[in-house]
Amino acid sequence: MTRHERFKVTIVERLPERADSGFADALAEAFRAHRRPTPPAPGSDVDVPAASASQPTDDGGMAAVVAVDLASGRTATTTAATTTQKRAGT
Amino acid sequence: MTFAVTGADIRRVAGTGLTKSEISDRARIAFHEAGHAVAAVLLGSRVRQAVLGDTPRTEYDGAYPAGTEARITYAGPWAEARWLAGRARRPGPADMHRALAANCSDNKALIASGGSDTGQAVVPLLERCWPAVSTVALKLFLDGEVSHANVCAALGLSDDGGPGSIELANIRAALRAVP
Repeated sequence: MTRHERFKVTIVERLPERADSGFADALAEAFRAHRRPTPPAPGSDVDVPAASASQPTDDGGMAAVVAVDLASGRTATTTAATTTQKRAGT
Repeated sequence: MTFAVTGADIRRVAGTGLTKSEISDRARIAFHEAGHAVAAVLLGSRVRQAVLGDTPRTEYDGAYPAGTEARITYAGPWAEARWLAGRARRPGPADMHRALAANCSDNKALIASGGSDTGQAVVPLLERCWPAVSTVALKLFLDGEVSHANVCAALGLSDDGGPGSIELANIRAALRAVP
């Protein structure tokens, strides 16, 4: 004997997702995060103000020691340089 | 402007009946237009207005050296890709491809200028000024429009910008930090 079962089909309307508190807080934090400077990666090229540290290198270039504040991402150097493209210290 | 954005500020925008998807889109487009606006001011132009709404757009004066237009055009998709990539990494070629595909008018303008990567020389400057792009994007997101004065304020200029601005020249030369 075959048993036929009946299933009740419920159609759930797909409603657009409204912005809840969690979503709003996360988006606000994303905005704030993007406002903070991103620290340069060690070895990456960074911009150094002209009046900052530099030393001549063996290959005739100039190198600067750059201190990076990991909290703010801001860089600081110690003495004077003549070019603006330097390599970040590790 | 201050940058003390909270979830309540976001919910104020959400209160207009927008869905999560629409709000995410609004943020994406805000960064896109902010990229155009900040690049325009940085390169000596004057922003008439940048607006969201049905037709998001940035209008600026067009008297500048050859090649500047492509940089301002490129800045929009790049800022959008930078936002979508998140803070942990920089946008790569695939991110830029998606951003350009989503903004065909910018893509067409860049191709007409010499190729989709024309204008990418603006990236180091925008990267250095990213906090200002974020500030302008937030104001666009919350208020729906920004003016030339808003962009100058975000860049920390005490003058009105323009091709004769020594403060802008210093920012471009990496001699002046953006607040």
